[in-house]
Amino acid sequence: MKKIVYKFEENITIVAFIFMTLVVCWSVLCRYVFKISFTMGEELSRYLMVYCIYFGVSVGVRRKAHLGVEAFVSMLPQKGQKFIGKIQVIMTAIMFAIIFVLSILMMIQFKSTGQVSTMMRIPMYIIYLALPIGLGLSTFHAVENTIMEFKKGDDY
Amino acid sequence: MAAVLFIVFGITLVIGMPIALTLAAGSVAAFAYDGAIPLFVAGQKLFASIDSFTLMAIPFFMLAGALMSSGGISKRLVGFANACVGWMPGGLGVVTIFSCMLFGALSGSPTATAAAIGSVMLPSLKEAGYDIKFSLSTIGAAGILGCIIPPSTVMINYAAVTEASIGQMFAGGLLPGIFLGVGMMCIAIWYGIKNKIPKTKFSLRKLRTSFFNSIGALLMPVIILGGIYGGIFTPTESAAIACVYGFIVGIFIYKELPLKELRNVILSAATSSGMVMFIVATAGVFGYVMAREQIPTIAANFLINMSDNYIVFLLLVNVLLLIVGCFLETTAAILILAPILYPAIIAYGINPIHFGIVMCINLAIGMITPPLGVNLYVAAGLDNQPLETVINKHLFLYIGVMVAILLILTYVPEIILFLPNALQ
Repeated sequence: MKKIVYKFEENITIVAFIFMTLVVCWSVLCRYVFKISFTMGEELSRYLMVYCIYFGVSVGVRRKAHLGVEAFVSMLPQKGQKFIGKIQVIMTAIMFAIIFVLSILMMIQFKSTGQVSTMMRIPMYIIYLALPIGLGLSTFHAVENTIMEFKKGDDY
Repeated sequence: MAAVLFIVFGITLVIGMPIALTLAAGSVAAFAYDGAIPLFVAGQKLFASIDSFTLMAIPFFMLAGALMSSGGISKRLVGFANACVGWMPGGLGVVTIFSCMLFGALSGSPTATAAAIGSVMLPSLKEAGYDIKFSLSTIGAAGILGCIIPPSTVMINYAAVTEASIGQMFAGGLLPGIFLGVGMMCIAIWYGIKNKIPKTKFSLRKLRTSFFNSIGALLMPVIILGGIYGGIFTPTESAAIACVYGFIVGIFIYKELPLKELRNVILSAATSSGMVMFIVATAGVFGYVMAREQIPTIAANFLINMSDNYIVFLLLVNVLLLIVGCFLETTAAILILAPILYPAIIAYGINPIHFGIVMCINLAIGMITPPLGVNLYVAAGLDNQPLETVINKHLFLYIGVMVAILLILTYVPEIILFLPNALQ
């Protein structure tokens, strides 16, 4: 089950990244080679990036790629470091949960207005959807990390 | 409200939460404290701050850098650098720095530069009898040229918040990058003379073969910068082209990038862009609260009242940035400080391009100053050494030279502005 989630987010990230690169290159090609303008290109690539980034954020949480400042904590004695470490992972999970909720609030707000994108005329909530999904997955991984941190603590 | 913003940000930063979340925590606390702003605005800022075609250059340059370092390109660049400057005293040290300058012209990230060049150079440095302390501090220090020699993700962020032109910022970074590189090379040469490291001979034939071997890599900065200044591409487009070019060179020309690896390369570029862009997103919320509270205006008035002399102002800002750079991640530092300082530099009549480059160099130096120098961790990690191995007298020498050059650049803006003005 977890494996499926991992593969899902990784694949979305990769596919969005590749398409975003190709769309931008394609619009350059259109401009110089085919002498037509690919007007949707800019918008499409931006929305692909939003998907790529927010799913990439989630992959990053799982891989612990989001750096924090460790300088202050590392000044503490061993016990203090472990204690702060636990608080830190809990706070991280809570914070992800909070901004996950904020992104849902935004979704609700824009779903009701029925706004569509300027060029492609696709409903904006489909694009905004990247945030709740990406941040929801991030929250999930942050909770996983918290559980791992506490299990690790029991070994000592 | 401003107090809540900075206090919560500070506390969460000190306990080591991810930087992006510390910015989010401060802003959300300020939202909650204020109570008057609808909360969905925060969610909307998380979207709108990264929904930008300009900022898209950041993930693209990250991907280009990742493709370059795994596609056998860094190895060839080092070969070329070795043929160019390897004959000097302290040859391999100079080669490390020169390779980082070349790689900096392909990649926008200092950590990628240190990792890519360091992993190729370290075995040869060890073999030739260079002290591990000297080798690692050279790799870490030279790596920061990655964000001063264009392209640079830090400059893209600065341009995005101040509306300076990315092309002008890139042009402004070139000469300072070369100055810093040459300054560092002097230290490496001096080290070579002092420790009587055996020299190798210069060979024109080696230079010619290595040049043709690495021409695929050397063409890339020509495409990126030539495209931007020739008015052919926007910086974002040039970055996307660089990705496709790097892919083609890695797969079809050098054949050192197996397709299976591609998945990991893209994922690693996506996670590092995710990290940076997530900071951009939450800094957008943070910036919204700051602007609402008119913190930039207050800061500008405060700074101008403190001293009406721009020389003193620039000195104070340099000190502030060097200290901030020691603790805060570069993207976050740029996104928080540039909007705060921008009104003040306009009031003093300082050129925004000049100031932007000075800011980039300051924060880049912050990447190799203890305790939070990311490049120190990268360098130490190359040889699984503790951080203390990288922090030594050689590193402080490098920092000293860089600070000296920084001061010259701060007070002689013509050096930075020469190329942007010439290209305008």
